[in-house]
Amino acid sequence: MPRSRSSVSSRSRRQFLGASAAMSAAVAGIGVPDLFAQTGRAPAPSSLPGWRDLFNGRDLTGWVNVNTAPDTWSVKNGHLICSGKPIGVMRTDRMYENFLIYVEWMHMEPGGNSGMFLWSSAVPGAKNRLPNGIEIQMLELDFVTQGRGNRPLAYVHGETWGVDDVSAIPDNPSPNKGRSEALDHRALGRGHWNTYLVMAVDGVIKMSVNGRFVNGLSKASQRKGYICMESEGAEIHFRNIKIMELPPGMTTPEQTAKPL
Amino acid sequence: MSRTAARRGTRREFLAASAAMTGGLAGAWPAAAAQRGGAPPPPTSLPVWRDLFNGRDLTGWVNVNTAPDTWSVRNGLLVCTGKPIGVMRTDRMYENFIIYVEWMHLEPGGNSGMFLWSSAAPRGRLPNGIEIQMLELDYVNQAPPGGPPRDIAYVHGETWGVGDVKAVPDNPRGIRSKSLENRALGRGQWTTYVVVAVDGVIKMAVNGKVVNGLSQSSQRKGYICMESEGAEIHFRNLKIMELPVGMATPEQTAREL
Repeated sequence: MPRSRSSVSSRSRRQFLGASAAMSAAVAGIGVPDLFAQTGRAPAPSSLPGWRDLFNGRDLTGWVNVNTAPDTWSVKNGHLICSGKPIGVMRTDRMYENFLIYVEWMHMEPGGNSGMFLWSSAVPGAKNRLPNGIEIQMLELDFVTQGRGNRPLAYVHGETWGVDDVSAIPDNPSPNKGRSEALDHRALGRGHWNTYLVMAVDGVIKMSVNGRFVNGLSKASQRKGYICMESEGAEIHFRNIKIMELPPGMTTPEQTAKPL
Repeated sequence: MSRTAARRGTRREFLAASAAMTGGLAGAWPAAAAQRGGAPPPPTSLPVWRDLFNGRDLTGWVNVNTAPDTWSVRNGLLVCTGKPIGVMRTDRMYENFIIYVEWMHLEPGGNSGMFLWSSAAPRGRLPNGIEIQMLELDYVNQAPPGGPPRDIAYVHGETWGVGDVKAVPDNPRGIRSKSLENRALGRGQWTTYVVVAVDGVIKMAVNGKVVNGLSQSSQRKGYICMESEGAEIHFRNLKIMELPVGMATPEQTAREL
C-alpha cells in the first residue's frame, strides 16, 4: 500500500512516544511526570532513551528496498525472512547517529552469509551490490570449512569493519586485513538463534555476541547514516530487531551519509 | 535488610521491570517465544532500565566516608548536603552500562560528580575511577585571587581518570577530556547526563547531546560512587541500563569490597 513519507514518520513518532511513556511508567514506579509536578520547574532537556521496534513483526513498515527483489524480504510467524537472493540490501527510512541495536538472527544454510550495515550511505557498489558503512557480520559457522581458501575462524564469530570508503580502527585487528575480530568465539550455527547487541556512539562500535562484549572499533569516518539489512545468497531469519536511540552528537557533514 | 535480601529485592525489581517492559513495548515478545516451538531462548535478553535510586530511600547504596545525614531523600529527590567531602557507592560493581541522571546544584560554584568503574576506596577523601564532573557554572568565577583564571571547560561536564586510573581523553585538556559544547545549566536548573560506559570507553551526553568522552580506561569494572564535595546538590531519575559483560581482566577490575 503506498504511504506518504510524512504519515510514516508521524506514525513512528507516535510509536516512539507511546513506548517511552509505557516504559517510564512501568520501570520506575517513581515517574518522571511526578517529579516534574513536584518541582514545578521546566523538565530537563532530554528524556530517558527507550527501545523501539525496527521490525514490527507484521510487515516491512519503516524499511525501504534498495536493490533486492519484491520477494527477498518477507514476514512469517513474526520473523523477518530474507531469501538471500539477489545480493543487496534494504534500509531504514531515515538515518541514525547514536544508538544501541538489539537483534536476534538465525542462519538456515551451511556457510550462509549476511549481516547489517550501520552508518551506511545505503548506495550499492557497482560491482558487489553492497553499500558502505560499518559491517556487522553474520555468518553461518560452516563458512570457514567450505574450502574457499584458508579462512580464519574469526570470520564466523562476529567481525566488524569499515566497508568501502568508510574507515575505522579495529579494536582487535583480525587476520582479515582491516577487520576487527571477536576475542571470544560465541556465535551459534544454523538453526540456532544468535543475539547481537551493538553500541554505536560517536564513531565507536562495541559489539556483544550472545551476551558478552567481545568486539569493537573506533574512529569510524562515517558515523551517521542508514541501517541496512543484508541479503547475501543464503536464507536467514531475524526477530526482535530493536533500537534505542541516544542523544545526537558532534557528527560533521563529512561524517554523515548523504540523505536519500 | 540483609545483604542477600537486598540483592533478592533488586533481582525481583529487575525481573518485574523486564516483564512490564516487554509486555508494554512491542507486543511481540511473548508471541515470539510461543512461536519458536520450545527452542531454547537466545542467551541474552533486551537490556532494561532499572532505578539506581528508588525515590524513597537509600536502598542499594553504601556509605563510604560521609556522615549519616550527608545523603537524604526529600520529595523523591536524592539530596546531598556536600558535607563532609566523600562518597557513597553502589552495593555491587558494574562493568558495561548506560547511566541516566538529572542533577541540580543549589549553591554558586557548587562541586560534585560521579565516579564510574571506581574502587570506592578513598585516597584522601575521594576514590579512584572515571570522574563525571558536575560543577555549578559560577565555579569558573571563583578562582583564588592572584591565581590563574579557571577554564570554562571545568563546568560543562569534564571526564577523566582519577587517582591511578588512566584513560585517553577524546578532547584533551591535560589528562581531562572537555565537552565540545558548553551545555550545562546553572544552579536551580536540572541538567541531564546520559553516560555510556562500555569496554573502557565513556561517551557522555550533556542535556541531549553527546559532547565528551574517553577511551582505554585502565579500570573498566567497579563501583559507582556519588560524590559529596562541599555544596548541596540534588539528584533525580538516577537510572542504569546494565549491558552484557565484556572482557575486563582482573587487573582492569576494582577490588571487591
